[in-house]
Amino acid sequence: MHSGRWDGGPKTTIPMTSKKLVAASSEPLVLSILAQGESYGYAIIQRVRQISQETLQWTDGMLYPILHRLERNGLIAAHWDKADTGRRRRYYRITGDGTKALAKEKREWETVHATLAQLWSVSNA
Amino acid sequence: MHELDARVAEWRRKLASGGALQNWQMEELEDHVRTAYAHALDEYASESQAWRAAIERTGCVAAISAEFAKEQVMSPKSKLAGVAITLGLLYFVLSTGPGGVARFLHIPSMIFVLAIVCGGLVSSFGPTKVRAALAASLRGTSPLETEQVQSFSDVITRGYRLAWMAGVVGFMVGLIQMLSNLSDPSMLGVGIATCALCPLYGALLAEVLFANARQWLENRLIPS
Repeated sequence: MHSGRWDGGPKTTIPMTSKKLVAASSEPLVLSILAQGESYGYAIIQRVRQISQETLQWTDGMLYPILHRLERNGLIAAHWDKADTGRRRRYYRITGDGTKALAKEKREWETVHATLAQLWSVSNA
Repeated sequence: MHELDARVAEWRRKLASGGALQNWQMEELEDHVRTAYAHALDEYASESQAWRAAIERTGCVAAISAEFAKEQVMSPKSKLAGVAITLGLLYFVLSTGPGGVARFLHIPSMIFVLAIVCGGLVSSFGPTKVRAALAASLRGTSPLETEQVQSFSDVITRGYRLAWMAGVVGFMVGLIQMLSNLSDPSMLGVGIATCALCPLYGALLAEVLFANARQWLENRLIPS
């Protein structure tokens, strides 16, 4: 069975975020990355790894159904283009609806984060 | 390079046998695996190790297929196409029979079945919920939570049962009307034929509309 993680590279001891949280954050993550400019599957995953310092890890293949769902719902748009490798590559960019959806997601995550942060700062005091 | 192409082809063949991915989706994944492989070449000593790392990182074929299968949804257009094929073929068959399609059209029977189904649904759930459930199952494409599917599917299931029931009741009502007036025996055949139209309409409504609507809802269920 797959574990929802990637351990193809050198073994690491960094604790990984739970599968549930990774699933819940996948759409805002993808939208946020595409809000910074057009990108493609492999690069999006690299970016998530790099920013989260390898703590947020998907099995790479799982990203694509998410991309296709976002595309179907009109939050992102896609087109084929020739990559520098000579093969065709599918590039994604965020749409107007996607920008709006991202703003909404952002407010929700910030609310959750602010609430938890406040609770924790009280309990730590 | 030939070796890589052979590996990619073999991997793609496995992916295709799952049947969950369309060609363009496999092409996109192939680009991913090849890119991952190119990067892995810098990290690993041998080509076979790099290949193993690339496909491990992309995910096992079964898991990818399962994930894509979850996302397969029907567009309103393809739903319409399915129903159109059913009704179109039916129309063709009926029109070639004696008397043509006109023999199967009986407006009072149609109204009778529709009245029982619509009336029953509205009195059970209220007009707003009935409309929402029908719109969600016929037009919607977004994935649904278990509770949403459950609540809409209650309406649809009730509609399914009502449609069959309306057919049976319509048959009995017609039969009573006919038997209580037997003064003209020559009308007997036509009378019974007309009675049989209600169960036909009920069955079509139940199986073509409601049974499909329930399946379309279930197709969109997010597996937990």
